[in-house]
Amino acid sequence: MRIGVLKIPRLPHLNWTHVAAVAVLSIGAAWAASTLRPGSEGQVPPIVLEQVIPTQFGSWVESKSPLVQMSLTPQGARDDAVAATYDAAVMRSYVEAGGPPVMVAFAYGRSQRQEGKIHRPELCYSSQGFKVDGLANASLQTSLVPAGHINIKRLVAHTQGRLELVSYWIRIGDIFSQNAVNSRLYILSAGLQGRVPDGILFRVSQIVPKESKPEDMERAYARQEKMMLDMVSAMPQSTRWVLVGPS
Amino acid sequence: MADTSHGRLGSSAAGAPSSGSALQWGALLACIAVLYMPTFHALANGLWSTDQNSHGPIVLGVAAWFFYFKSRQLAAAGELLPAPAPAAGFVFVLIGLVLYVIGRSQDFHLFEMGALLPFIAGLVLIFFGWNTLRRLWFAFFFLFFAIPLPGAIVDVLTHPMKILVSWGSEHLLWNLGYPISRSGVILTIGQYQLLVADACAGLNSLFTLEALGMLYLNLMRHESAFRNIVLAILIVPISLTANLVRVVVLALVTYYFGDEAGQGFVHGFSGMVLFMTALLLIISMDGLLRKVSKAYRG
Repeated sequence: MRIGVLKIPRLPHLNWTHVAAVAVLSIGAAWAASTLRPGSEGQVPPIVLEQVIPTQFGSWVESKSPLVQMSLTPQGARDDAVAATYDAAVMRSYVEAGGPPVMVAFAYGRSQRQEGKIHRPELCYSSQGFKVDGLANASLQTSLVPAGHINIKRLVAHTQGRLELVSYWIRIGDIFSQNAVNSRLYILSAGLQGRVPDGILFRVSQIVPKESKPEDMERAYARQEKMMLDMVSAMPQSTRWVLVGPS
Repeated sequence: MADTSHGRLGSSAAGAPSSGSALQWGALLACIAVLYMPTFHALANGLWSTDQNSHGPIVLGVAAWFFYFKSRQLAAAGELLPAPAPAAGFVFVLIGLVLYVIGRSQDFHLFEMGALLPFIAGLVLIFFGWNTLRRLWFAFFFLFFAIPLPGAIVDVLTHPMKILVSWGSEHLLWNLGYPISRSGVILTIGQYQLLVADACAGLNSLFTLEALGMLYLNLMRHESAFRNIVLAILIVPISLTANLVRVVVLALVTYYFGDEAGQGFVHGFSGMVLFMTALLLIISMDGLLRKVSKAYRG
């Protein structure tokens, strides 16, 4: 009697109809999943970011600056982390007469999927010992995009010795996303339609004196944001989409 | 009693060959394989090969083993009494499959792996019913830890832990007289710079440890709810401590033997240090709690 209990129990018999139904549903789901996967034809053509970004425009000109910029991933200034996340990354400084240099960083990913998206700068700054304050949405009025405005973000990053004002926008496909949920939903709906959107982070920042007053900071923001728009206007129609999306 | 329940389990009590049921179970396993082989293949080449998610296959394997272990235990105790609830079961299966299709086709691992929960729960309901599902709750709970959370959530939750672990390591080593300084999550010891990466203070390692801790509790079958709950909560500081030990060991290896040795340690051995430390802490905490609860009772 007891011995029977110790043996491995025999597999219980199941309802054949139900087993068959589960099998049909599973195979259907596997088929649907592979059909709905966007193929490579859903991707945008590759670009060479270095060449697309102008070195001189309006009153601005690129300068070789000794300033070290904030890395584009939370992993810090490690090339492998940047390379694993983005297809291209460019960091430059620009100067114009009568003002501190503005640091500019671009991070471009040709295919934005649910995993491996652009990192938001607030995380990169705080990972590397900066305190991030005043993260806020803002909007730039411009006729460069059909919508008439670009959604951007502003933040203040500071350490003991350094106060940095940051403005950025993240374009994914044809939207300017201000949060991760927004990005995810957009990527999801584009993907289900067979498209793989590309994405770019366009970040500008400048170091301002620690004792800057609010109105000084407002002026600095306006200056670097105008520079963002000036840069886009200076680019030819054929490459502008990289920064502001298809028009 | 044992004899009759055994009779219920087999396809026939007389011991007729049950190749039919073997075929059925094989078919169900094949369904899971058809759905998840591509997923596991993709994960093995992607997410699971990163430091952040290397615990994925371990947790998944343990979850699978636990399903097997628990259902065998139920069957052996004669408590696997089929009372199928196919209607509810198919609803669960369908929910699971819809999540799966979205997740699989859009590389959304949260949905893709998350779909396993309703899908398997649905199968249990279809063939065995609510009671058995309830008996297996812990296996589902464990499976939950195998679901990779979206990067943004992980980043937000991990960040304070990284800061805490970096801060703790800095203070410990400073007080031991090492030349160490910290900026955010970057430690500078001597001439070397260490970045306390996600893997070193990860939510994922916390999750894995929490999962393994819960498994330990479940297998130990503690009677006292007090001990279970306290230990489950203690796993959070234990995990942080274990991570701190790992970072400190890494810093010391780098300091004495150089960057290369440090990197070798990171890739080869530091995970082991983490889990050994955590396991030791869990077991000794458990022993301590046993003494405490005994002392109060006696």
